[in-house]
Amino acid sequence: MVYTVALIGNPNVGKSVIFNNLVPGARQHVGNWPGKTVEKKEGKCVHKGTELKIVDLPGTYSLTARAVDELIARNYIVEEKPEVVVHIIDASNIERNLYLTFLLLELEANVVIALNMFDVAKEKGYKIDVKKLSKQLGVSIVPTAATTKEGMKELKDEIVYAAQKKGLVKVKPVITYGEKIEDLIQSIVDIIKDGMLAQKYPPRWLAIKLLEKDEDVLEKIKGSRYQNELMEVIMKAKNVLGDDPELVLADKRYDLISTILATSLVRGAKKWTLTDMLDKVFIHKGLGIPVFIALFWAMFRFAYDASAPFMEIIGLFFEKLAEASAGIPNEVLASLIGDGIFGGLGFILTFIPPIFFLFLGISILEDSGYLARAAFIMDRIMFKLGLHGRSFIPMLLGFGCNIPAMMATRSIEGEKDRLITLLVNPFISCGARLPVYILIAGTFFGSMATTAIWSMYFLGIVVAILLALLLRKTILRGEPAPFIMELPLYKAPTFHGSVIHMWERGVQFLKKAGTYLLAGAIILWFLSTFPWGAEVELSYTGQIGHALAPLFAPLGFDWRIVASLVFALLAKEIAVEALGIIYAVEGETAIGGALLASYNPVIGYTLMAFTLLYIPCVATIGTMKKESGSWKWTIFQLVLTLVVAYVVGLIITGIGALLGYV
Amino acid sequence: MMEIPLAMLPVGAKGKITRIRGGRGLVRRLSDMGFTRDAEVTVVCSHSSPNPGHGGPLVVEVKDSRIAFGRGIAVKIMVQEVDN
Amino acid sequence: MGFNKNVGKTIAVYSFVIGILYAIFGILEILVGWGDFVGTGVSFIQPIELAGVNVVPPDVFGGIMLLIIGAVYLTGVREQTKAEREGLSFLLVGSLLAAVFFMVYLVIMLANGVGYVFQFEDWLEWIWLDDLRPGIWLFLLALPGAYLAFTKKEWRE
Repeated sequence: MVYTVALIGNPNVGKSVIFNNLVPGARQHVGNWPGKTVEKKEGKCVHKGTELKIVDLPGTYSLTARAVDELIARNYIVEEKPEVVVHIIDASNIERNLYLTFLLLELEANVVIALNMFDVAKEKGYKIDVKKLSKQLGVSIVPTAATTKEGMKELKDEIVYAAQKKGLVKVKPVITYGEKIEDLIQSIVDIIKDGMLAQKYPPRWLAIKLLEKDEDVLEKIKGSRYQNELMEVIMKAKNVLGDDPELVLADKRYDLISTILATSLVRGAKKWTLTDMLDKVFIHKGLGIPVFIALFWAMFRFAYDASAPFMEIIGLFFEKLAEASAGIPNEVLASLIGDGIFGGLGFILTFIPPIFFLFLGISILEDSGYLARAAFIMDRIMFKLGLHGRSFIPMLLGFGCNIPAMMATRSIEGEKDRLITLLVNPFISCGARLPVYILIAGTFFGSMATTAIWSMYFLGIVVAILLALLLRKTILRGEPAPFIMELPLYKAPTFHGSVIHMWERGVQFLKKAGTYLLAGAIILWFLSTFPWGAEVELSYTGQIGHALAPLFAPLGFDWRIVASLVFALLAKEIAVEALGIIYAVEGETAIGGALLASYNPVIGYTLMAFTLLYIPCVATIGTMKKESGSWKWTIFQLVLTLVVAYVVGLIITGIGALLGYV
Repeated sequence: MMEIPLAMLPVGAKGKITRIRGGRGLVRRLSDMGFTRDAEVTVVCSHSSPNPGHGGPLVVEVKDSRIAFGRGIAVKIMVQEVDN
Repeated sequence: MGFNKNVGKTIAVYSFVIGILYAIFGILEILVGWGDFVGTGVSFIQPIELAGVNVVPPDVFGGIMLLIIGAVYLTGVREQTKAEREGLSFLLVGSLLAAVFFMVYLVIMLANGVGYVFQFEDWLEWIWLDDLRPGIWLFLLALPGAYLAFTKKEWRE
């Protein structure tokens, strides 16, 4: 007998901690809700001989039809009818959290409340009479402090008990909304109660949704025989209540919450908390941004510098593997495994340490609660750029690696805002492009090399901003979604918790990027090694280079550069090695020498800009597909980046021509 | 007493919400987060200013939680100032 | 003992000193690193060495960060002299930032140690003293303030 248990709650209530407490990591399964880009987590656990399937619903404040994650949560409860719905509440913030409880009771879900962060509430000076609250709501409540695993056993006990009890006792609505509203609800229930909908969904809930003019439910009654009758009642409701029923209901729910809490909650004197103190500086008018800059700079420094030796270790490991595979008798196989897989893939996998460290840094900032403040501080600037405040973090992460950056766009609510952020993210110069800049700038620009490299970062930002504005004005028109964000209390991030976070994201990244990288490495190996035995120029890659070269002639690129750009589709840092292979030289100085002999500085600079802007690496493309959920936008991004790179390249070449270089 | 936009309240001031001028979506969204009629809000931090077109986002405390939002929304929430 | 005028004044002096120290070394790091930053190789000041220790590394951005930490400490001074508890926030956050940078630089030093142990090319000539920079030892001076800011709950009344 397997019971399905859904977890639901506001954001920041500790839902994921409870999920992790209930389901050990190994038994967790992360995917997507079908057809959507919202993450779905589920897993199994066993308690007292009963098997429980735990499903983590998206964190929401409400269950309207207006937001994707709210609809997902709502539909799951109404259609899958889980045996138990565990509503996780932040005890230190109980008033607003109870709103969702009311909505769940309307849905006639079998609710068990986990009154989480009980320890935080106590620190705040709150005294909650759990028994009384439970009686008034008609729901069992288990106090928990998930981070210390307090209350988890009792919670599991209660879940199993509630699951077994379900259906044995008919749930009577304990919460009622006053005469006027209840009359309206009843009149609607009378109309629909014999219909098909009422068999599938709780009639009372349907009635309430209809009064609220819920888009999804209205859709469901379209074309039904009682549609007109219903619309009449709905229209008349506004007059009866004196205001929009939706607002009246919301007010009523909160009124009831106040009444209930009046007898079961005692708030202590208002304390000046750690959060108040920290926020004074973190969102300070003058210091807010500098502190933000300092923290993120520290994070990047950590991610890159602390990971350096580990990158070498991984590189060494794959080098040894590649050497070992040279002994494989079959020459082609030896090359495939040695050069293609261990060589190509191995080189890219050396970038795992910085990416994981970056994830760790982000997890710490997020778990502590600081990230919300960062989004807040940046909102003003972002708004002017036609973006959402939350777009800033992904943009910033892009300087490390575009892939975690794009994964970070999940917290952006507006679809269009998210899409724009995803589309322009690759223009931000990621860490992989740096080796290319260093090689070219070092070769062509001598003492001005550092400035040349800085100009690439600057160029990336400018292009990203311009394109964001352009997209906002044309294809993805509209105002950025209103910025409303809850700032959770600051919490010392636990090492354990942040590492788990980092691990989850890192593994996700590896799974997705890894598949594309492996496939890409093998394809590239094939293209450059075959026809077998031929030198680079005559290999397929070389042939492609020659074939495409005329297109790039205006930019001054010959087949060699084009071929290396094709190589770099796998990972941009490969361009350096690729040039080495193509020129049949080894070592940066030698490659530099070869470049110097063949091209002028303008072409060098154009190549830098082109590397910055053109098609993102395969792993990024894969991430785009996953995050946007559509091939249409992924291909659009491919084309967009290529076009922008080409245009900018032409501009640079043009300026160069004016300056006398041809 | 006069009702003024939340954006105009100084830091530390308290207000009682009278109404929210906005589309249905916004009003519903805000009320889900606790901004209902008669709810008391305290301004925690303001990068806003009385001048129209100037100023930035706001952080307020409502129903035990801290919510941050842009000025565009802050001018749509009408409150009556409450004495401390 | 609450956050009274005497305590406030002491804290203010302390914050002022720490703030100025961070600011000075921040500026020094910028001046030393300027040459590398603009690519000319010529800095306003040459790297300062003391008994072989690279006391002020060339690091424009690192210097800016130290300046920011100094600014946070200094901003709190005024409110601290007036024994206003809000001033403690700046000591708190300043200490937090100083601690974050301390830990980051320390971890980098350890990572470099790993590179040295493995005898990788880039680390052959590394010694741990190379990484003993202001961001690390200035924090040791900031430690008392950090301790007080985080533990003295009675000051927050």
